[in-house]
Amino acid sequence: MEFKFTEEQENWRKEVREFFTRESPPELVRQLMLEKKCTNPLSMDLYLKMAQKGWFKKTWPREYGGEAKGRWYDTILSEEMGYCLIPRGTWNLFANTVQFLGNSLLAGGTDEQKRRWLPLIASGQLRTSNGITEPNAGSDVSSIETTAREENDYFVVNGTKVFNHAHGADYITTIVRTDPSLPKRRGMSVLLIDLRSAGVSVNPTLMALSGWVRSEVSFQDVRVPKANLLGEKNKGWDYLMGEYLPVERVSVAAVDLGELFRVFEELVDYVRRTRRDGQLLIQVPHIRSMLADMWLELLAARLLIYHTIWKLQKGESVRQDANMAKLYFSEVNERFCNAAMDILGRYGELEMLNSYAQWLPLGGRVSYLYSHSRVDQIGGGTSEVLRNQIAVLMLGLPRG
Amino acid sequence: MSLDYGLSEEQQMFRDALRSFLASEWSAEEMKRAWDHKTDYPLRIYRKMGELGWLGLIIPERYGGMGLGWIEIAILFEELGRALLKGPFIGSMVLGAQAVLLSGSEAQKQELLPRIAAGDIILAWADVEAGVSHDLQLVTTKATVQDGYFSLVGQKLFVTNMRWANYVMTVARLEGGAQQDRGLGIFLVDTASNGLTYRLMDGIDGEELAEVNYDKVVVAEKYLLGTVGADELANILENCKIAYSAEMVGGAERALELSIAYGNTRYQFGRLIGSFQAIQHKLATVAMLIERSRWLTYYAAYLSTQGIDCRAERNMAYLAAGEAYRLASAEGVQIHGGSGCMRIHEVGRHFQRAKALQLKLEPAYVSREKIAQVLEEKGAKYGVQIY
Repeated sequence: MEFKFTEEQENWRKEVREFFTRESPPELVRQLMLEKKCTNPLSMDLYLKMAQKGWFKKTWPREYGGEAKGRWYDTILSEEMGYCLIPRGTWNLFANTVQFLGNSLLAGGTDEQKRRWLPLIASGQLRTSNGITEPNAGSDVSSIETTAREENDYFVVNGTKVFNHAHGADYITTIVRTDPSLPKRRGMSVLLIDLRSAGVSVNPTLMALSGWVRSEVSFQDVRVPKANLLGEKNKGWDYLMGEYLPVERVSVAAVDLGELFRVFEELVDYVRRTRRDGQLLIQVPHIRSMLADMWLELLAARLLIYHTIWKLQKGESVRQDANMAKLYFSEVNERFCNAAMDILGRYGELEMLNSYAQWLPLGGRVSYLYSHSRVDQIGGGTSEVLRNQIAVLMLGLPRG
Repeated sequence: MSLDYGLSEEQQMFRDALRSFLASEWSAEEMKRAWDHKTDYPLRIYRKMGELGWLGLIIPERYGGMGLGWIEIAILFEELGRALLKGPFIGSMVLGAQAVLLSGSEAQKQELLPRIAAGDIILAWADVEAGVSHDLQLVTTKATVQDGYFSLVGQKLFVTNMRWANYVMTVARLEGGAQQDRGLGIFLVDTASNGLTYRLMDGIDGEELAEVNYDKVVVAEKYLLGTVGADELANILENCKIAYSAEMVGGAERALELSIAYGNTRYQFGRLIGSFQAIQHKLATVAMLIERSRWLTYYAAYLSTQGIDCRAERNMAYLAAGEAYRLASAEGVQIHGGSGCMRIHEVGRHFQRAKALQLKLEPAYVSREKIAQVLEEKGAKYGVQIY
């Protein structure tokens, strides 16, 4: 048993932190948010700089130009993106393209697809969004209604995908129904669809509570070359459940955990020097108690996430570990933000995106995070679905 | 070596050996008998474990121990917790061993440690008093220096394993003579001493808690283990949280297993009750809280073994494990329904043991305050290492 990073891993974290601190200072990120009028703006400049440093392919096998580094490289990078508060649109793009598509291609793509797409991902030229959720298929992904029928060398796609980041992407990794005659989970496939194709419309009009922009994408008779089918036809569910979602879940948890830890550091600093009603906040017994719980939960979440990565690194199945880490972290997230709001008191009420920066402790990030804090309990598997899965697949209880 | 959550081969063998030993020596029936009728069976098992060398985990090899660390302690206590085996473990092999190592003379170490490791002597631990729960600075039991001996006067509460103890390690204030301002001493008091009396009280977890009275108990000078500051004393008590946390993790695991097994066999409304989401979601939450407390516990054990400051982490483990065990056993009783409320069933015993273990050292608000003290002193930091 060892709870210590290697010197190489320590150096990686230092390198990443130094880079983000230099290239993406929080004031710059705030300006970008105000300019784009959203809390998840995309800085392509930062994204391309990360690509130029070769960071997107660190964990890939050498035959695809990678450095064959362990999963820890991705985890540390994710944590630091959160800790350094980089523009979330840049992270959205990284998560969708490098982690989701990149890892899926490595796991299930054909050799030709790997040679075609991986270099474009590594250089930052390929920008993708996930396309999973639909208006009538949320938790029940297997009920998707987007269809792809075969016509010569093409699939013809019809349907709608929601809550994605297509507005910052050129392609959308889309789960579609390729064979309606098969049982629901057997007839799905994954297509990489060019968003510039005829018949595609992208509407970046879905504004989240926290000020994140998300898109609705509709497909009307969109022709997609068969070469853009990822993996095998009708095996989409297996890809989704096998490698895609666990990686996504842990990755989202890692970046958000990094962000919460940054906020925690700043919050502890704030309560140690802020007087209210004649008393330093750190002296208030109830606040002390809340801080102890917040710290405990952040550390526990970190240990659960790392546990999943450790198993993933060993090549073991991590679906349920990932579910558990994600489930736990998402609930910590809300408790943490709720407690942080209580500690800030009236100052917690103010929206982040306004011009009264002087009255925004911690840059207004706590109220933003509070507004965002339910998202993790819904996206990537709702807490209810995850509890069902843990109960049946991990604990061995009978199916309901 | 990067982060590694796995046990070493030796550690895994130790766990396997413990589990099969307890499975063959300590049945659920024996557990209930010992609990209800205060049998000496746990002591017999304790001595057998001494013969196997398992009581000297943190005692250095030169004193007859195994020279291992807190991860092995956690493994042992996790198994004890699963099996609901309560004995003189904490008092002797954890607190006793640490106290002798911390404050004993070389001669005392040579005399006592091999006997602790072998299970030949049982030590009880007495620190709490009527008005002193956690702040040992306030201890009032007095040890007055006389000519070549000490005279102890005072009263201690909630001393466990008094029935079996050969010695009760007593924390007392040194008074008189040259040792006027030397703070607290740990005295090894022979339980057969004149003037020492005790009264046993029953805990809800079947453990006996003693009120111990010292009426001019004579303790020879050589049985003063040494003098220690309250901080040092607090540190060895804080380390016990690793053992208690692991014990609660093990108990919680067992309570969860019982609930899963019941959910897979009990029919109501024509269905296995484990197929109801109302039950599935409870158990998924319990499993998650166990997972979090397990890793907090082993993480604290790792830090303590490495000598890294873990004042906060030990308390986090203790809090998290307490919550996990309490919820696992409370939901366990709920899921077992009427039979869960009966003494015949194991699950309800866990419900009682969970609460008692949560309180053994201190209630949760005290542990939280200790974490907050670290934050106040050092701030929070997210460095290149976890700790």
